[in-house]
Amino acid sequence: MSTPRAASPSVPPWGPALSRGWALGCDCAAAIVVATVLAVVLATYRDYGITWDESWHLVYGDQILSWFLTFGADTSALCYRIDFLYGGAFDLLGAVVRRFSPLSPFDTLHLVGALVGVLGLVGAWRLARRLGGPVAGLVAVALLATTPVYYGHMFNNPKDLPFAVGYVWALDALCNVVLCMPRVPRRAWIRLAVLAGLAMGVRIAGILLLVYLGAVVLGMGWLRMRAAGGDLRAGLATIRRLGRPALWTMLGAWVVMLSTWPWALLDPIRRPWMALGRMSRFTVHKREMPFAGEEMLTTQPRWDYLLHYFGLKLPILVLALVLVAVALGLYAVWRRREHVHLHQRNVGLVLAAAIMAPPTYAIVVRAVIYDGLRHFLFLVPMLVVVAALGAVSLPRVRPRLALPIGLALGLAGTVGISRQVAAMRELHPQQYIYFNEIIGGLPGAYGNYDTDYYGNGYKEGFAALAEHLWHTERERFLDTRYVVNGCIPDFVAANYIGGNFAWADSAAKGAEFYLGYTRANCHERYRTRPEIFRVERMGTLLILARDLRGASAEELDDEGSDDEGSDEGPRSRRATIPDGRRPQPRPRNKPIPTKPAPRPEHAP
Amino acid sequence: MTEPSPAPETAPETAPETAAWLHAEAHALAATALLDDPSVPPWTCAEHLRRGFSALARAAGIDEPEPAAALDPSALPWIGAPQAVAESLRRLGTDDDTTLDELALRRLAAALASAVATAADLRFAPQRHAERRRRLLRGLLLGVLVMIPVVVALVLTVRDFREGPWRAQYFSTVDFQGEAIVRREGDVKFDWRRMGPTPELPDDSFSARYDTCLELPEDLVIAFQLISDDGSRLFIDGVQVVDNWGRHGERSRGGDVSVSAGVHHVRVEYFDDRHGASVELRASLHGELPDSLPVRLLHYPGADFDEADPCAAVRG
Repeated sequence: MSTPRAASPSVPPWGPALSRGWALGCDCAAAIVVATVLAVVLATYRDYGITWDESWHLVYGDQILSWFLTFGADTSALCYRIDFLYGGAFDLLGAVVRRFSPLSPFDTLHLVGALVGVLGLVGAWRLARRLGGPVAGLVAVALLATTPVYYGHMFNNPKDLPFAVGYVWALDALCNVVLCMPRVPRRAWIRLAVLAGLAMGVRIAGILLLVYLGAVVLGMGWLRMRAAGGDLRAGLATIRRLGRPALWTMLGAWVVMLSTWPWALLDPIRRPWMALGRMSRFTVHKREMPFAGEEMLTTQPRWDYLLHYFGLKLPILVLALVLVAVALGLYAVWRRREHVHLHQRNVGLVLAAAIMAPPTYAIVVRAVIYDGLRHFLFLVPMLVVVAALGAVSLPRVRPRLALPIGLALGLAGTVGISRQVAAMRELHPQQYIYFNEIIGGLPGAYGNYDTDYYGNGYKEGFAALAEHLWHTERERFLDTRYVVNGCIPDFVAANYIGGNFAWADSAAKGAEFYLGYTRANCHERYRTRPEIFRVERMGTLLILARDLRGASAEELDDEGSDDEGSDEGPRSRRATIPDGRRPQPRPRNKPIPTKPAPRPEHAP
Repeated sequence: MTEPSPAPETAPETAPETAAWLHAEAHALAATALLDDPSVPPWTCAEHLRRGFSALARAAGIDEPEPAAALDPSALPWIGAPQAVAESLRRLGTDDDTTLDELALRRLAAALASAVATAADLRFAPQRHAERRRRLLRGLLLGVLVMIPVVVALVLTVRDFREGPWRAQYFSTVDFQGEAIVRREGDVKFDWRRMGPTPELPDDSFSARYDTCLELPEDLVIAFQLISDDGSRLFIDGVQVVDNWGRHGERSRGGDVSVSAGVHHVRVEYFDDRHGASVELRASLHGELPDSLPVRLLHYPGADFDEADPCAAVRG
């Protein structure tokens, strides 16, 4: 039935009303922030290392592409490790771009990932702008761009980061649907279907978005029933009216998800659910990890695991603004003000569910968790949006003091963001290991929490080793290929060696140098061999290089196995810091020029 | 995004017309809500429909409209299917609303709502067009701002991705005999593993020759390095300066070479005997870690050059 179109909500539920000029100014400022990030990305994407997941996803992307190009004849994508349980939305995009890119495969993947990450900034801007107006949009994009854990993952996390981007865009679409209710334009439903499908096409956990949508429809039915004096039929009529397009949206999202997922395409109803079940009972990677100064099994995480990581890895400014937003929200609920904007309540509930439900589920089922907050990276943009809403809502609590409160917030924000930029510059390209001031920054977290869990520092380590040898034994360097070993998978190391370096899969097989990062105490192997250099950030060790020349194979065999081969398993890093001293913050021990990015490979 | 066609020129809306539109819209919404509400019978919307159509007629300039049931829908330009509506409209003439059937009422409510919406499209077209123009301009402005770094990056790096400055010749023999496959390469940095450089060449026992012209703005002592499996050697202006020749696994050889300012012919020769195949030329111009020769200093010598002076065309 055709009815007068509901005007698309032009007034955001939160945030001040701005003149057109101010709104345009805020939008331009947000665009300048995005442009700046884009410029930095383009200038630095080659500095980032290869993380443990990337190689798998690179191969998986090629296999998916091959599956489509061969019309299903190449079935390697259907049984590749456990990657077949993931949709290929991002991996397929990477594979397609690699076909045309003049860059090396990993450089291409890093660039594509970073550009997708920039899209995430735009997604956070859109959502914050929709809910809090142009000022909130500007605050959100500035905060997210200077949140190191998000920025650092943009370049070399092929699943958590794209999922975070899909999640924030899909939630923006969901909030648009909620704001348009009860008369939702078809375009809004279609947009939600596509974006939710893309998020699910990266990780099946995106199915939560459909759950939220279902909950919204049921909630609207309940509200209608309550407004009709408890008439169940009125509620059911609303559910029927909204449920039909919602079901089509879910179906559309399912189709979009399947479109890049060969394994699920072959059994489109059952297999996505199988993947969801498999991911919910994920027990791979059982090992110990440092947490709050102790060792903890990844399969038995403490209930406050995520609280620690979100509390310690998000910038203080973001945390403070999130607390402001939560306090204001609770205050509004407590006052039970009757004039609470209906849209504020509905969207607030959606946001609260989108942020609270996933970690609550993980805590309740004690899901396997490791690598900091990497698996929950998708909550970071959401928290930043909430922080932005807190920032624009606070001055409105006391309208008479709005200007001074706003100015104070602006000043605090400028200082906080400047500090973040400085920290990110100092950490570059290791931004993802950032810890905030609550724990004393990265030095305070060292040994107590996972830092360089992804091995991003190895790229710099190999470059530093080449640089070191070039400057210390120039003549020999030109005529020698050095044999190197490290605490790094062979398939990743293969991308760093070449030129002057050959790889030994065991130090006892003639390795002359060893590189070890801090995870699993790899840096403590071969302690009797001389240390050559350290890759550090903020005075905290990331990679340690040792000279193995002159050591016997037996000696190396013995020393190399004292960590992972021991019955006790990996020991606490805190207990094994040399001399028992905490690392003292200090500037980088020496300027380690980044290895010039490899030239594009022109393999015929 | 296409700009919508401009709205037709119409006389400004009068106050009574505006009021009529507001009434029509309010009655359309009320009728729709009553039809959607299961707690009231459908016929309760009938009066709203009568008043709504009357308001629609007033908005259409019919000063003293007849009762809604007697209206001619074809006089209302916003009604989509006047014939179907006319039939339903006539039923509103009844004195007993409870006899009205729901289907007709729904059809009328839909027609009324649709007419109001259609008319609103036309009435507010100028404002909407202006708003769309503003949004389009804003989007363009923001897009341009965001794309500036992309354009700058493309301008700065496009040189690195141009057609390669190396003239490569590939032979299916180890001694550069026979017909060569000639093409351009961007760098001498290859790891073919156990394959040949092209499908036309064998996986083993092939050779390759790479030529380029190096233009130096000043005299330099350059550290050259050749890493290859099997043999390779480097010539500057026909003089061998690095010798990594012979059958061997991946091996590095290098040395310092004084090169004067100007254009110099650089040649790398390579052959693969068996198993793995790779070759890489690296150079350190100013004492930095050796890496590929900068593309900005290299010039393509041409597909067919004079062996006596391969860089003559570049100098000329």
